[in-house]
Amino acid sequence: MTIPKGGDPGNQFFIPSLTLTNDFIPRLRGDTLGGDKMSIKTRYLAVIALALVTILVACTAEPEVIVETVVQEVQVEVTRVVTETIIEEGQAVEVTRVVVETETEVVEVTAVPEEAAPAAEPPSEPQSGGDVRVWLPNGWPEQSWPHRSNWESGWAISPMAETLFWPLADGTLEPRLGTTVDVSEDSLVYTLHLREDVTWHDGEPFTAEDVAYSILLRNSPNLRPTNPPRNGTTISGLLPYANGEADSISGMEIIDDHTIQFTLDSPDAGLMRLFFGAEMLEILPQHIVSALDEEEVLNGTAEYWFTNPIGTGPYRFVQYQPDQFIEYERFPDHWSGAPGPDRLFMEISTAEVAVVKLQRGELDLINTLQLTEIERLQAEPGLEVMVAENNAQWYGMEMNYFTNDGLWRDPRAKQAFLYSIDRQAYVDSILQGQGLVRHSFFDGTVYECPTMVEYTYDPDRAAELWAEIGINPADVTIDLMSWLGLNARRDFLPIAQEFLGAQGFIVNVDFIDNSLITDYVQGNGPRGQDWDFHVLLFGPGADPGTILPFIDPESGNNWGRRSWPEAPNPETGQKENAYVYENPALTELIAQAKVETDPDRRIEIYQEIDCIWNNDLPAFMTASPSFVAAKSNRLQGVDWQTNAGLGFWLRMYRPEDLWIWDGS
Amino acid sequence: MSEQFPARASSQGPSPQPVATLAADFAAQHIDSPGSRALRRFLRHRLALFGLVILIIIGLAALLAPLIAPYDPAAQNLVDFRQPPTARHWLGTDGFGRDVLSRLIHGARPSLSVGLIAVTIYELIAIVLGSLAGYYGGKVDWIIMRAVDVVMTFPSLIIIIFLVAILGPGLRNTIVAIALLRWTEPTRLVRGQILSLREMDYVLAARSLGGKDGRIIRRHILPGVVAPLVVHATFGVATAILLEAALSFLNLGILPPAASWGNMMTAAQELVILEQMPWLWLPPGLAIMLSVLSINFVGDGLRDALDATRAG
Repeated sequence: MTIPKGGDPGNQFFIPSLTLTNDFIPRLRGDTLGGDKMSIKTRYLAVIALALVTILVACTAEPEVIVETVVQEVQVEVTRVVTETIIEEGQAVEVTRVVVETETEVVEVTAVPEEAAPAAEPPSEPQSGGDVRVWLPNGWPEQSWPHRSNWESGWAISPMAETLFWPLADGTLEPRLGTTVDVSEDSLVYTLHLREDVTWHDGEPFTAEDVAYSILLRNSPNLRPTNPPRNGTTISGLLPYANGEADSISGMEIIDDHTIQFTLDSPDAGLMRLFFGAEMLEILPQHIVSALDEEEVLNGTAEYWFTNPIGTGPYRFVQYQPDQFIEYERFPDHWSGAPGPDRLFMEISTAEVAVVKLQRGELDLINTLQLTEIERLQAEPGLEVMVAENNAQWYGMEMNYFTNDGLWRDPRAKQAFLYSIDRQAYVDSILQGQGLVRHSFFDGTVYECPTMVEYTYDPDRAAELWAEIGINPADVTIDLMSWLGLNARRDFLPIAQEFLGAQGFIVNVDFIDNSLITDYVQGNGPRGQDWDFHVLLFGPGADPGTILPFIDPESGNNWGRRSWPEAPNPETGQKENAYVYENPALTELIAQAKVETDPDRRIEIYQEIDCIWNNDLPAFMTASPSFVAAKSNRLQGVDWQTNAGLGFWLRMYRPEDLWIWDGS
Repeated sequence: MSEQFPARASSQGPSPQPVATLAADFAAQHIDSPGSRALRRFLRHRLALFGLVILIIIGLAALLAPLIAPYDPAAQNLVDFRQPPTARHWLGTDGFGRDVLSRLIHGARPSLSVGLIAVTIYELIAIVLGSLAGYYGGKVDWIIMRAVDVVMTFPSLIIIIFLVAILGPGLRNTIVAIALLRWTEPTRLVRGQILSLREMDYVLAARSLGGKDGRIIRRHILPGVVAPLVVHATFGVATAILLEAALSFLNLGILPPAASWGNMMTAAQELVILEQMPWLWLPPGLAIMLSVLSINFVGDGLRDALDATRAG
């Protein structure tokens, strides 16, 4: 047995094996290097303390206005009136004269900051040149156009990709690649006329073949994952084609290079805005995409989408640097004329970094500004915060399909749920007052129920309703879920938890990672099938027909993020709607709404649907956050009000109108 | 007449004491046991003492949280949200109008719980597996050590996030996830100690006397492992607190409305809060820093105190 240095051989508890470890570690810390262990730690402490104090000071320091007083000698012209008495011709004569003299005077000068010059107005005519830098949140996750299912990827390709029409908030369609649509008297034949002066970025002409090809690919049953059609299902043969029962869409016919005709099985008032104005129907260049490897196109894995995609938009693709930016350049042959800026960058970063870059002048547009930043950025002289009311989408609570047959089938339970929560307080605090409480699906639109009940915070009424349906809150556990990403969505749940808890419920809140959404909602998450509601962004979008997929049993598409199964119920053989919700009156109204093309009657029908929704609450609306954006003063040509009204998903409105003001 | 021997005291030093007096002196003499030496060394470690005091304060705050917190940490006030510190709310209020001080005090509970419980679990796993591997060697050692090697290759935070995502967030699952990923290091430590201890003469003696393996490990070998394991566990608590904070910061740790230092820091994700509302993130940040620093100081002190090679 070796006796280590400093060891005590007489110590019966001495364990030699410890010597290596315990002797070794102090040496690593520098004891044997002559360092003073205590002083090093003390120094560490001092450095940490200093850093904290610096952070505190930095956080609380107000910008200091420097007012300096200095003493200066200045040359001053002094004018004096001097009266002198002179002797002239023996007589004393008083003479008055004005004398101007220069004297040196000592004065105190106080230097104050110059007031900012009044902001110059941009020129009325757009300028050429410069680069536009636009924020692209969450990167570019879905590069394949026909596979696109999220708005960020649509925003990413907005400068180069174009759709047929834009559905404006005033009910009209703004032409893009389409110009006009002729509708037959029986409302069953739609003839779509296309713009004739359009060329692809490679110089090839744009034709009706491209439109037909895009519609076929977007609705192809062979896309993996499938992207089932949400709209246009009334076009003859579209559903059989999408279900793999036909090779083409029988109701779609190319008339000539710039005309394409659609024949419908039944009138469809929503076709114009939801299909021709569809947000996810970017038109593809058939001559390019059809020449790619078919499997790669169907799987969305073709490199083409992020190496050299082409479109018809005002900017053409230059390069994509993953997690950094997408670069576009001016397309001089765009049908609207060449846009002003030389280049347009879509910059990928977190929301926080985007704000800093905007403040530093390294970014020109943030399309979804965090609400907490509004007040601060409004005070920045070189920036403009733009707020537009949101009548297209709102946060809501969607029920779990698997527990939908229990307590929550009773509309009174859902009404009581809404009465229990002070949603206005949520709008005031979490949404910073930038939003509205919503009470029904079409709340705030022309389709709103004329007798809409407002579920304003009323805990007593809630308690009455709970008692009426025989619920003792203390016996009920409510499980709520939100996925992460949008703080405003997430933060509704702690508020709901507090207010429902005040009613006596036990409320659990789960925040889950985005990658687990599908598993969670389909019953494969940590709570299995036993959970109640999740927060969701939904709403009427561009057309009231948006509501139909939620309540129409024919629409079993769960879009991958919903809990209900797409397959028919094995017991009934029928597909169920989103909320396992039945109301014969509603079924009748849905049938009418689908075929009604008279605008006034259509409004009446949807108002009736809204009244039923308002009472039965298949899902709840909570509140709609305003569309808030911020831009630099150098970026001009942004029409945020129109942009925000383009429907459910945010797209870049008229990218060709953007220009850079070099005198900002 | 007999010869008188001169008194020894006068010629050969002090006179012999009675036996009883010697025994009393011996009893009164300070016996320098290893424990008292370790305590003495620990008490001389000023930073360790500082850490211990801070830890005791945090521990007491956690224990007495319901008594000393001025408000219910979950009680919202959606009118007075994000208010700076005032006389009513010493550390201001958060985005839901909740009292930050109360949440800070209550936030100590999950942090310390996760730290202590997760570390206890994985140190126990380490003792069992490390003992088996170190004592028996051979195939048992090979299998356990290869398992350790495999688990050590995992990026622990990512796997913990993955586990919590599958198991669901919450205090219990956070503890489980940390325990399942962090047992490898102490297992190696225990195995290493036992590999050398099992060759000691007294272990050989115990074995030759017919002692059973389980008893030999428990009575003769494990006591020698305790000291380095305690030191390791101390640092493990600090790591677990940081992991819990990271998970809660990502909203994958402690479930709302419970407060934890990590989920209080979530507010700091917004720039305007970072710049203009330090009361929302500085207190939990300081609490995490202080507790981790204190635990590390205590760990340092324990390591020095239990180091048998040190004199004094």
